[in-house]
Amino acid sequence: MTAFTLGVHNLPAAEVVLIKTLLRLFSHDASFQWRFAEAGPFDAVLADATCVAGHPPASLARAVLKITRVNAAMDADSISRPIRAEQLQAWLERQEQRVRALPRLPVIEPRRPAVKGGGGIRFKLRRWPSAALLKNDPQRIRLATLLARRALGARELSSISRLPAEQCQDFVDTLRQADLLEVLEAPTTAASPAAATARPAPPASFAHSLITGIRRRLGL
Amino acid sequence: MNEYKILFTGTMGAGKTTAIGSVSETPPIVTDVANTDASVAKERTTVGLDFGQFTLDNGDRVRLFGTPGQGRFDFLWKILAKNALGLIILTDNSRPDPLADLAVYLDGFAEDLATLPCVIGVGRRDSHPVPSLDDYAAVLAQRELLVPVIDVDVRRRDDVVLLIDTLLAQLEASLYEEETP
Repeated sequence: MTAFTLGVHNLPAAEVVLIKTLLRLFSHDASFQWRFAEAGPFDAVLADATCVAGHPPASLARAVLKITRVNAAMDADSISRPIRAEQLQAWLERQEQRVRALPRLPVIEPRRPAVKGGGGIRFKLRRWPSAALLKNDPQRIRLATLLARRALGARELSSISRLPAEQCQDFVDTLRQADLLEVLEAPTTAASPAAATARPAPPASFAHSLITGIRRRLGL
Repeated sequence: MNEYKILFTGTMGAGKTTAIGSVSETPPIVTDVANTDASVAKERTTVGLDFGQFTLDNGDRVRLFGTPGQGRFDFLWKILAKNALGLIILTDNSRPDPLADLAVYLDGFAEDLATLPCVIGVGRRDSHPVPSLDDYAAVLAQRELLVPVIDVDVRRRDDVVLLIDTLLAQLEASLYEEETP
């Protein structure tokens, strides 16, 4: 029976695929007790060594294996790239006793955005709207794109898109009438008079300036 | 100076080179050769990469890469997609089976599509209205993908800008999510 969960932290997609594949191969051995998990808590985590520096390893999982650049592994809890099956398997098997001896990390709920949009309801697009609804209108396309990417209230939609709130609300209503929106109740505990009028936190300034800079360069 | 990357992909003749040229500040660098594929009415086609760029006010550069259209170069796609700001898939509605063409790119970039902003630009709909944009959306829905689908004429700069803006909107939405406590 599988007893331990393995996660990854800030690894390239190609390495994640490799790790998943290796675990599937290892699992053919009945004594192998690890399985890949998409979400925590994890018993062990494989993490890029450069990313672990800012995170105490214990905050990621009970055991952390650092993946370093070629020939840079420095201790028993690190292996060098490229990831080798036998090294990974040996490390995982070494962790079993250690993991059993440590308390399991608490389940960390995914971060839920606070209610900022008023009404406590968010909408997420279920599928891309029909051409008849979008009318090839760049503003409608932008609003639909935002709702495709994440759940938003009409006020949040207005804030991100910089389009008038009424226009955003109208568009949301149109999408709802077309049954294209999933309606999500935001946690009511986060709603407050102040929050209801607050603007969403700006994106990281670096990324924000990049997006602004590209738009300006393109004449948007 | 930072450099960023936007990727254009799609079938041979879908207009990747034209799209890049319409927003690049320099004439796109192309690696075209004579087309030997008799099924495509095109004298020359890209076998390597197309490349263009534009410079932001702060000196940062956005590189525009066009992948080779032929599926046999798909090994390059993953390499190019790494660290890209977004992916623009161009389809050519005049081809025999544009939805099958789209499937090639959805498969080829499947791993990236979970996180990478992406938009599909459907070209030559004036002369070939079928499949419709809604047909494209249906194919995406079957795959449980929610990707914007837009009617484009890559010869029109505004259309290409709209494709890029749609990628930026996805980035904005993602960043907002990350920043919200």
